Amino acid sequence: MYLRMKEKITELENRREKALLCGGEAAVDKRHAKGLLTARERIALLVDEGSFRETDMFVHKDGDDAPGDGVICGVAKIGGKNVCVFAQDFTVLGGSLGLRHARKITKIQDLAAKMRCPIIGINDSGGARIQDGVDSLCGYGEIFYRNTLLSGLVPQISVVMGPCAGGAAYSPALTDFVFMVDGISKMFLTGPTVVETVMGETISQEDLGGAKVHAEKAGTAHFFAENEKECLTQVRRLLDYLPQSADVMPESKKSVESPKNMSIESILPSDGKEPYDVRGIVKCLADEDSFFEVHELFAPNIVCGFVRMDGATVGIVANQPNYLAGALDADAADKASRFIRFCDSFNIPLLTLMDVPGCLPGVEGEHSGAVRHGAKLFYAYAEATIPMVTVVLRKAYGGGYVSLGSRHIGADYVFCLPTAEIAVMGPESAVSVLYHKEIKSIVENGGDVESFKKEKAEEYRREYANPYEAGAKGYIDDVVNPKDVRGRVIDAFASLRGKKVDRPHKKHGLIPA
Amino acid sequence: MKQIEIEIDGINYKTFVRDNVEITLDVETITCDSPVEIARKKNKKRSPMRRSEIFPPIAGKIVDLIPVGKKIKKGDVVATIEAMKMYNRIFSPVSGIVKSVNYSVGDNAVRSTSLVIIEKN
Repeated sequence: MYLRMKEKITELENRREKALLCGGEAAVDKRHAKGLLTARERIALLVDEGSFRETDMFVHKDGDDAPGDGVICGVAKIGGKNVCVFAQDFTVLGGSLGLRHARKITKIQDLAAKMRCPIIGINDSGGARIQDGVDSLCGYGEIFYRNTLLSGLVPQISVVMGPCAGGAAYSPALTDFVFMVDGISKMFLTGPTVVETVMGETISQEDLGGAKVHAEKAGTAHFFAENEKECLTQVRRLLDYLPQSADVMPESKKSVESPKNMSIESILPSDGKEPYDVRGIVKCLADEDSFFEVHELFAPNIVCGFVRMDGATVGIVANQPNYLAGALDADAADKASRFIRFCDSFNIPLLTLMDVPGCLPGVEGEHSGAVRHGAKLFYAYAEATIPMVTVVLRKAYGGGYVSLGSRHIGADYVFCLPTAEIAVMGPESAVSVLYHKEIKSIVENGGDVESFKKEKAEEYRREYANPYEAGAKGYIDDVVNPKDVRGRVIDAFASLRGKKVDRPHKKHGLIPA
Repeated sequence: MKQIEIEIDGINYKTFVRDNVEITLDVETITCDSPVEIARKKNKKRSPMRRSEIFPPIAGKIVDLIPVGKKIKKGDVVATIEAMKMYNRIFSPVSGIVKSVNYSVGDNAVRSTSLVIIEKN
């Protein structure tokens, strides 16, 4: 009896050893020669040391030459908290997706739903396993279905570390945050060969769907990293700000002071036309070294990210006057509205820093749907039931003011700096509309139209482009000295901790698309 | 369809041409010290461009502009455009010498006309 048990244990050990070798020594060496990590090494770098517990190690396709069927799944801890992980293994059948491979992924997705914990997928796959035929399409469909059902329930993170082409690209796009690595990640629906055959355009994989393209132009990637290690460190950092699921609040850390050597007064220029980097203001308000930017390279005219204030996670949306004057366009609206909806799903309070001159004018923008894209911002703010505080730094003009967390669209508190200008439009534009007739007659009589315009603009600025006109009507809550803003915002969020909003039950709303 | 790349006065132009279509190029003067070459664009092996053309990211009034001949470093301001109630600084993505400037102060910059051309060093 004893001997048989020993034999069985030896067999188990042998099988385990074989599985741990991934696609075999030769395949692993080939990867290392290219400077790439294996799926197992990636998981080891991502999670807390020694915390990974693998599931479905012995799944393989018929025959016995595909350890794990090309994907490694399991449960682990990051920062001491549970996570579910899967990593496609390129050394086994090119990480291609067959039915059992897909079912391993859906199984871990279902587990994440039950455990109410974040799920991280590392994508590195040649695509559908052609031998599996329609079965692999079934596999993709089942994954996408779960991506959608998990959306807003537990944080879903995709790390693209290799090819992720064709239908496979939709899975990361359905998740909350996509990480990509320079020179390694490649994501597109149709590759360069098809593009060349059909369109006659020659383009490299990198230029078509590399990390830079997705981070800067397409906006698919929220985080861009130079190498795999940096990328996995970013994933760990992001998870630090997030709650385990929509059922709980994000964990608070020890409160840290904001940096002593920075002040809002020294960053915000007194000339309203002078730009500045709004990220400096974010740093003044946040706990020191806590600002973690999301979508940094995409639509830089709006800044989104996470900070800690008094130790608690807060989402930030801020106009960036340093790029396109901080004006809103379709990409900025897409970026911010998605971020706001993420915060709303996961109980993360939202702080908006407003300095918006309006929406970017242009034929191209209007024709490509600036209206329906811009509408998303209104929708996202109005729909959100999380605590929302807005600080008007300077400009708050027109529709931009209304959409970006004004009181009218759902903010709980709106504070203004003394430099705030809340008005329907800027002084110069307002004068040309209001004094249209006067200007016309001065021009006809050969008078000094410029000095008239200037005088009237100054008058307008004094009367309307300030925080007190809106203050007189109760549209804002207070005008605050820049040095007191951090304290006021922290107190405001503290007062809103138990915020409850009741909305009529419905299936779901329709966000403009 | 073919992609062709032509270099005129040191500036690279890329365009697509349908198969079996005759192309004529009208130029006022031609000085050629070598026969015109039509190069097929190859992956990755792009000839490094010696010049960098900076386009305005936003349309508006030019309030400040760098002069021709000025040596600049990557990240230097080449122009300031007043638009959306703001002075928008336009930074150079490369280091080099300002080869040409296509506007004067006070002009209205449009997206399709470049601000300056920088010859990289």
